[in-house]
Amino acid sequence: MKIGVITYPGTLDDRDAQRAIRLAGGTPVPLWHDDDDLKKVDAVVLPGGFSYGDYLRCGAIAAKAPATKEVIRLAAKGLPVLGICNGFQILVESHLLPGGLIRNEKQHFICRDQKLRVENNETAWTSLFEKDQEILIPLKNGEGGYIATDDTLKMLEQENRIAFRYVENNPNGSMNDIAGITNERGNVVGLMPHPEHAVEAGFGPDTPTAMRSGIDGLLFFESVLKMVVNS
Amino acid sequence: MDVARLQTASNSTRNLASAQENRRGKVPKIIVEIMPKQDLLDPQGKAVANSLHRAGQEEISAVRIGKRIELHFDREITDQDLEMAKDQAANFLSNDVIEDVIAITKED
Repeated sequence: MKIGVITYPGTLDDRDAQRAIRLAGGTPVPLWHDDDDLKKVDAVVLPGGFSYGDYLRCGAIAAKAPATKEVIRLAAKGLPVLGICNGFQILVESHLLPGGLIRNEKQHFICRDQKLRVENNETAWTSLFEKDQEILIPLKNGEGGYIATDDTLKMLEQENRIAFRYVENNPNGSMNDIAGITNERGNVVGLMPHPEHAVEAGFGPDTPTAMRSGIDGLLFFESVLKMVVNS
Repeated sequence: MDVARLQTASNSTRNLASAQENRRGKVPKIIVEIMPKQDLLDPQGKAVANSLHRAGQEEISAVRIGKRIELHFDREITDQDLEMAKDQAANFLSNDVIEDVIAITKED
């Protein structure tokens, strides 16, 4: 089961995403932004970082890269795509997901373990979660405030396309506490927090059970692997 | 060291000269101006406004900061170029969820 991870100039979390895929039982395939060959992968992760130095707008230049154009083409045919943090920004700049991401409400770069609620467990990347399950994964961003027009927000709410909401506190001023959304088909998911940083005991967030034992992020990757196997 | 420094100085003088030339409009260019949407918080503008207030300029009620993007050409600008600029301004240079294109102007 091959899951591609695209590296853009300035991407930081590509290796972590590859490691998460490996721990979930998949085979990570490194992909390069300037190559429109996605090597017949079964799914793609757009990892976090600062692609193209966040020039112009976060994700704007990466949205026009040859590899991204191929992602856009294949996503329309149902290829599962997960955008994490900067990857989420690339997905909105590519118009694969609606809305935009702006500087955090309080201007600070935020790095902490964040509680989320899984609002939609029928996407390619969330099927192994329970509906309304609360999970804990790291969040680290400066421009994570989700915004959209009133019409778009209404549509997202009505069509159950909000995949994750922040619980207990809204760290960045995101509208309707939105942490992540999905497309109509459920194959494209984008979120600001980082599931790939909560995949192995000893290196994840602290939980009531033990320090650094949080591995809630693993289910994202196991979900997509299960879906690919079954299809 | 001195030679290197002199060369850097002369380069920067040359850059400055060419920048001034550009500003005088000698290079044909299309200028795209983009502003953050009115109802969005503009943190840069807010910080600059606070600083201006501290400097005693309290009559300035708000500051907003946008972008000016210049597309330079080595030839005369055609109507097609302007159409292209309009298209790129809408689809790449700005994001209509968070920004407005204020003006697209030609400067010969």
